[in-house]
Amino acid sequence: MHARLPDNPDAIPEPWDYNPSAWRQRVPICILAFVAFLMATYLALYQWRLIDSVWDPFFGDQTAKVLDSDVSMWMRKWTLIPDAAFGAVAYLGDAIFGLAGSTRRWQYRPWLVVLFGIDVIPLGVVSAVLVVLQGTVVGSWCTLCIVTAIVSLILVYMAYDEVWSCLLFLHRVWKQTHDRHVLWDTFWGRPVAIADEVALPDSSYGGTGPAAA
Amino acid sequence: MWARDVEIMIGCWLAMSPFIFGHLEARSGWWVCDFAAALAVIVLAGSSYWRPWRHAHLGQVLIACWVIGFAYSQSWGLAAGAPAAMQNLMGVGLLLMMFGLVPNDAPDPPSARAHGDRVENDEDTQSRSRCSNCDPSRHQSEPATSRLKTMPR
Repeated sequence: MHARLPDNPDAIPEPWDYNPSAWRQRVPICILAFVAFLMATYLALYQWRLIDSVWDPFFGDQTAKVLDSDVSMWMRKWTLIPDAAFGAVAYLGDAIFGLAGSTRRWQYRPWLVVLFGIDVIPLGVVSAVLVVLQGTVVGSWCTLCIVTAIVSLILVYMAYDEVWSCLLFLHRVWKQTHDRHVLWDTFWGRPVAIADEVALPDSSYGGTGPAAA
Repeated sequence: MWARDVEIMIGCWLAMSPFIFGHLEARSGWWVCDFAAALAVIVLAGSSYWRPWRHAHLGQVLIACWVIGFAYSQSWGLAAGAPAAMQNLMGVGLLLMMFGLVPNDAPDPPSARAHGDRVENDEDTQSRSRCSNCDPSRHQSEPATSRLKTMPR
């Protein structure tokens, strides 16, 4: 019998004192991403001219100027769809990849956590850049765009701990083995003995220690 | 399997798309692309319910690349921008790319773990990769050469 078989679904990875893959950590991310998805979809409806005007409590018709700006049109040429629709798909991706996987996915499905990180972190950066472009290039502001950009940055803050745990776990596997095959198998979530060995501190195994509390 | 259900719904949407977006009869390529993609998406999603073909959903990523590529080929360089039908294909392609990557048993551990199986490292790998910070006696009771070992739940 393998004494170190981790069977605690809420085991706590280093360096945190909580499980970043727990539902209580991920569900708020998904809810926030879904709210941003709805806002981006609303802006996309205007860009598709499915609605005549767009609501903005502070900047009035500046939002329409931003959505119809040359920057927006230039992006649309490359993405085929309006930039707000592209953002909506990305936010939906945050929610989907946030929901997928168990509460041990940082260990069992590192690829999924890395994919989630790739979706969340560049999205946050792109949103922030677009908001800066609004002011500097377009010369107009859009409240909902700013809100979605803030949401993106909050999502980065909320999601980075899980991605960091996952990368630390993969780094520990590499440090112990220096074996690319083991690292590859671990990344794709294939059961590898050494990966289970190094996944958690001793105290977090088998339902004993602080992880089980 | 919720991702497969969503893919089937996307497939149905693709099948309805030519009528919703009013493809001209002369645009036979658009009709073929939509119907063929719809069929492929539904078949791949349905096949994933059968355990031997449980990874068939990964084929959705290829379908996504196909429809996105088709949308680009039909829209590139148009002064008026991409037609609505091609924007639809672009959006559907992005959605398929995301949903196609979601595993069947997403809320559970990967299948090998869920079925209590565990791949052990061979002797060579174990000696190379022995964990330095755990009790060595934990390893001694294990047959080092066993490739697949059923673990107690």
